[in-house]
Amino acid sequence: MSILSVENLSLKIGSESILNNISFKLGHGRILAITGESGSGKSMTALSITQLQPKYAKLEGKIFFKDQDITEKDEFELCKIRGAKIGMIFQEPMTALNPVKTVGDQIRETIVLHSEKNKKSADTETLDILERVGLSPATEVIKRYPHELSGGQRQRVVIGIAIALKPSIVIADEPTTALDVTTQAQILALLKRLVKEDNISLILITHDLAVVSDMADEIAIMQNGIIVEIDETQNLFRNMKHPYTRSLFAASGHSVDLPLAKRSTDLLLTIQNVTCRYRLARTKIFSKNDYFTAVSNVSFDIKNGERVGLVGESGCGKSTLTRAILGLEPIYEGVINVEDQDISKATLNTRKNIQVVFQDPYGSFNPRHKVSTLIKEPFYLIKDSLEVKNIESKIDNVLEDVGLSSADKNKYIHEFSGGQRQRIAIARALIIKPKLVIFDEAVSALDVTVRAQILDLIAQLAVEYGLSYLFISHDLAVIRSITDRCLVMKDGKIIEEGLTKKVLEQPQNSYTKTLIEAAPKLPSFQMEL
Amino acid sequence: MLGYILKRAISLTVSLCLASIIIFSVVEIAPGDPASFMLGINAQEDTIAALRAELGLDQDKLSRYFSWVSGMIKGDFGTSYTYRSPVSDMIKERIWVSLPLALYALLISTFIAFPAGIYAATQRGKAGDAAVMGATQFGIAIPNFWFAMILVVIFALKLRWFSAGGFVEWENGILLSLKSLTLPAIALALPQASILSRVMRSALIETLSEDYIRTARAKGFGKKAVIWRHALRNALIPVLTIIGLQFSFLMAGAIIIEQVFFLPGLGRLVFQAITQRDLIVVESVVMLLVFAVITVNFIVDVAYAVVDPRLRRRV
Repeated sequence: MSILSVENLSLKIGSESILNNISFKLGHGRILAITGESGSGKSMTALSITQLQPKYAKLEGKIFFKDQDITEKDEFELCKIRGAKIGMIFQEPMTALNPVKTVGDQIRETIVLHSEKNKKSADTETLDILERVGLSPATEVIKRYPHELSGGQRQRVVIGIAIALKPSIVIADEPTTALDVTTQAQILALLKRLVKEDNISLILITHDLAVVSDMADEIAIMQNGIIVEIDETQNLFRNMKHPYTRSLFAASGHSVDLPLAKRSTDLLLTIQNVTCRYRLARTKIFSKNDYFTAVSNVSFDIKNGERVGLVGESGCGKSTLTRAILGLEPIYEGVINVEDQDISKATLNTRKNIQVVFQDPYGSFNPRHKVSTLIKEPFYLIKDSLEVKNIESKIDNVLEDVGLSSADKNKYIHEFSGGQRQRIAIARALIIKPKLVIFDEAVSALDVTVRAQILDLIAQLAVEYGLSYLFISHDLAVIRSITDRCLVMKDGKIIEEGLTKKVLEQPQNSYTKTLIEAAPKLPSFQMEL
Repeated sequence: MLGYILKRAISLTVSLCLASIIIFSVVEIAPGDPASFMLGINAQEDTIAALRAELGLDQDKLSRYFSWVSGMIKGDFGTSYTYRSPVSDMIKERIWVSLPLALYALLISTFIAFPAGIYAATQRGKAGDAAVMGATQFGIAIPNFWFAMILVVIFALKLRWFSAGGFVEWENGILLSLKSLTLPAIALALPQASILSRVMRSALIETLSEDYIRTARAKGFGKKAVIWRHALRNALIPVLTIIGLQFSFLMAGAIIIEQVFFLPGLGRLVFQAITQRDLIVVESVVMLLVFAVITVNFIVDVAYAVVDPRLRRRV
């Protein structure tokens, strides 16, 4: 018998249909994964199950939880189900906890809310929960505020809240998307262990097929508010009946065709013994200044035409290093040279040789400028920018090169999708014909199918423009397909470097090994297309 | 937390020192010699010189500054040029009108603004919200002296619940004094309450869209419980900032209301002192107001840290 049965669920916001007639069942102690790209309706499905959908959304259909239709319950009854019978885990552990309450308070209040327990016995229970989710010493952690914990630790607290009352169902909405790969592996393992121990049914929502394949008993693939395919995990990957499932799978494992870079001996970028540090906020008045060394004694170089990858988890110093290379970050020690010119003293003419594409395609453009203005901006780096001829035709060309049309130059940035914006970001970087383009997690925020297209574009442009790349990513698959050589960074230091293939296949450093092992992998059984 | 408070206390002291220097210099620069002003145009040179010596005006600026500051610390603000009475006595009399008036107005403003703001936030987009927003728009737009006069007409002249003006001394009974401050406090509070409700509303609406509110709802808290347990404290930071600013305004900005209600407050004292070129009074009252404002800001800073644990570890 199933514990949850969703029948013909439709959800509309205004005239827009978000969910369209979806039905599925969740069995006792089973793990159902719902996967699909952004906007496919996965999160809305999760919110609808606990009736937390936006209040202006119109819901139709039935949701049976233990044979009772949730959609017919009033707010009072729903509050008794939420937290007690159905626990929820959300994506962003950084913001999912109340910053002004201790984590102990936030777990305890769930227990007190749904039971008659007094504060003292709830306290003992809270300590048990903290131990169960691997936060020890619990007596210490219970007094902490969320900002005193790391992202992974906070997500453990959120999981603790969700499982506190041993609910029948836990719904986890992208629980590990915001986390590093090694943390992700730990959190997934924790989640798997807990639902097994308590015989909880889990709905795991994620865009990452590789995460799903390892965890779920059953997978539902969603596209545009419809479940296009739902099946047992093994069967689904073996059969892939629906073309969308196939394309999603293909895009997830997408690798690009890129010829090896031509060997060149011209040094484009040299980084010698670079150290960058920040002053930390003082914790005691009159105490000495403390410094945090974000980048510690890093040296490497990039030759003309070379494509170098930089791998590391959040906080390893890769973003600081990127900013230092761009001349946006003061260097404490060491030198960064671009074509034999010190970047901190480099002229605009040298600086124009390095361009960057950032992670967030939504936040990195001024929303009040037209695309043409945004793209031609790098020309102001050239001394007599007005003398650059044919700016308009250059804009047209570069837009076409990145797969957009010249008509797009008169539009504003909000008229474009995430993938298109990233194409515009690339166009902005390329228009001035740089020698080195830095991609700072440039494909991490994109959906798999879009990511595959952008990766193809990046590969194609490397050949057409003869560019060098510094490709910064936490995603080993992307690094593998784009770069020739790669560096692994941890705690501000480069701990391993070499040809990408060699580093990823025969890692020498134990951290590199952990990183490779932690990365979720797509099932390898051959599909019959 | 202690380091945080200590640092704020240091910054408070530095601000006070700077303020005292600025006030002293400005008053020094102002044209006109108080002694010759006090004695009139026909005064003899030597009479003026004698008065100057009596007032200590013949000493050099630095020693006058220090004697002024050290006097103030001991509670001695000097002698008024016009009234020939100790400034401290004049201030003492009036601060017991102005300070309670400011606190009273602040209290009224907060008591109106919190429920109104919270209500509007929960009713966002509905009729209740529109009503509150309309009322606050009205409250901000109405000049408070006009509103004060309307209050006098209705509650003093027509209904005869309150007196139209004047202040009943505290010795005659706290309730009577408070009663005489009620209409002025309401008049002062109206625009402040309107601004504060709007700040409360928007801060709460923003907080209610935070992820941790969704977490709290998923725990099983109802809409109201979520506001009390999770949203309100997070929404308090901008509200506290505005309350701090309002108190400063209410202390110093009540001149017109004090005129309307014939209240012997600090505002009127400064106003009179300026017209009579009684610089020592101006200096002292302004310094006192600065002290009050800076102290309130200090209290607001400490309140931030009480509300938000993330600020406690900062220095």
